[in-house]
Amino acid sequence: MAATLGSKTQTLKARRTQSTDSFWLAAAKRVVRQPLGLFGVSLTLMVTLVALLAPYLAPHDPFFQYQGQELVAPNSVYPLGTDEMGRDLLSRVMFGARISLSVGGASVVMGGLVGVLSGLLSGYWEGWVDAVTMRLWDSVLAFPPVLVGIAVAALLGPSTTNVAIALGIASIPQFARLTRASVLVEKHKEYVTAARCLGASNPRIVLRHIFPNTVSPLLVQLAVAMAFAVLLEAGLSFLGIGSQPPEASWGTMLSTARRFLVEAPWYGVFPGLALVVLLLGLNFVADAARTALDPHRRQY
Amino acid sequence: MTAFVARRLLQTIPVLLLSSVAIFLLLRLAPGDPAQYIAGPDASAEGLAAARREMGLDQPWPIQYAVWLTHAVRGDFGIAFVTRYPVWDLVLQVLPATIELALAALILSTALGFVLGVVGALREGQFVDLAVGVLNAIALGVPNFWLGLILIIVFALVLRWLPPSGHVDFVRDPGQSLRYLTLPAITLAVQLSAVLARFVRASLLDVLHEDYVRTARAKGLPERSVIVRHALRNALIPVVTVMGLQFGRLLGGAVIVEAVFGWPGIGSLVITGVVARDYTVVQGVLTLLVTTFVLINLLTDLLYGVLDPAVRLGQKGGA
Repeated sequence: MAATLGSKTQTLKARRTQSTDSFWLAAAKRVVRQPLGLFGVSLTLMVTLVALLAPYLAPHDPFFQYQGQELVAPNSVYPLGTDEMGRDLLSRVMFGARISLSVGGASVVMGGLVGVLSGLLSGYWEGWVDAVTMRLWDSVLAFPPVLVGIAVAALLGPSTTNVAIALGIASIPQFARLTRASVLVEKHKEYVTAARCLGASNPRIVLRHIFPNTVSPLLVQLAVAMAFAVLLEAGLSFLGIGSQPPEASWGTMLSTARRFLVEAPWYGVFPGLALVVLLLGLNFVADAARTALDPHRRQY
Repeated sequence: MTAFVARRLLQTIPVLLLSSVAIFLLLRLAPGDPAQYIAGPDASAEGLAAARREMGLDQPWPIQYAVWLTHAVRGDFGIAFVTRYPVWDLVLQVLPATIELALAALILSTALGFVLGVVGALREGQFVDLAVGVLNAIALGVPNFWLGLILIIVFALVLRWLPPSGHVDFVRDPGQSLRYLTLPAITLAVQLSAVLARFVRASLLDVLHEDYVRTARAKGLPERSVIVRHALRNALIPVVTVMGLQFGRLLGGAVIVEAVFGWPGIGSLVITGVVARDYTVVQGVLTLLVTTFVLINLLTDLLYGVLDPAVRLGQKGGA
């Protein structure tokens, strides 16, 4: 008996994996099929490629200071000009993409993992665990994210890693709430009862059966949180409490550029333009994913 | 209604307490001995011990927290390490400038958001609607600090219409004060108005398809009155929540925009505090901002309950 049951779950599992694959592929196709979605994906991929290939694409060493070439206007040697220390701005902007994407990625992975796990726990078991953790996330939500960044910088000191930690913490509550809301709906459905009757353990039910059905809204949140983290990393670095010089973060560059707006306006323009390209890309991906994964949802 | 208010208040208290514990721990976990700051770097062992006793640092943490909380509730956030002024006095000094900026941005974005949202809804699918939609998407993708820099370059450095940064007291010189306020207020308002415009549009579109709007039209009311008295009024309910939820964006945005324009507000105070490791200042400002934010959210919820009876009765379903 046990053996037959076992093999049945095996085939069910196989089928499930198969359908999950096609779910991902189908979702990606539906995102790319929308003009704005395709545009967003292209922008995001472009910035990602530049970040990955920065050492090969950059015309100069982003940290090398060319003596006597300070604040040079864009020309053929320095396509975007140079900064106040004679460093090539284009190379620095290219390397800046690495900081933006890695801080954004790290914080979203951290916030997503903690948030989803906590949401699964509190949605499935409810009770006091639910009450305590959700109140905890509520109080994180009570801090506008910039303030979380300020608090973490005050406690741990300003650095790129600490910004990622702060943004990770700030993004937990949304993931937790979304997951919990889906679990509350899913756990009363028949397939959960069926799995329980087949003798599936609680962790198995939660992770194997319920979780896959909560993924859609989380994917949208992933893109939203990523855009948010990229924006805030730049904002906190601009305030001087994120990445520290000489690191080439877009926010840090803009913060320095503020002092040279009269002599070198391009210095204040290009790092921000790069940031806008990435943000628009991520925002369009998020919008398209929202439409693709839930066509009934109104488009705000 | 009383039950709803009571329930919502009860939910707020643990949140406020948890946040206050977090903010309290911030000071205690921070590297360095606060007593050393007060007593000075050359203080003797006795001097240090005296300072610790005076500041209550020799007490166990729970007692320290209770003392800190009871002081904080009365607006006593202690003495700033660096400047040696009471934190509350420092806050009062910069608060008017921040309120001025936030209020200006709020008025500007509400006006802009409503006009764009209504226009978008009434011309749904037409060129104006699409143009507004694209503008909104761009506005949401442009970070406010960069927008601020661009506005400074264009309007202050190239066209020389407005001053690039600084602040003038309204009482001293209203005209100059408004000139200094214009660029920061626009910078802070742009994203907010884009969010509002999207919601006003969506919410109005929902309402415009309702039966009572058709009835109002059918009985021959002028279109103006149908829109303003019947549709817009009901469309306002969700918009109120959005405006409340956006208050955090306004607070956080103000901190950053202040840095762009050298605006002497609460953001400048807290950033200076972080950089100088002046923990009492950071603690005081954070407490104030977080409490304000939580209370505004509470008010929004209560207002929502007044406007929409279903919420009040807890019929939201699910969570």
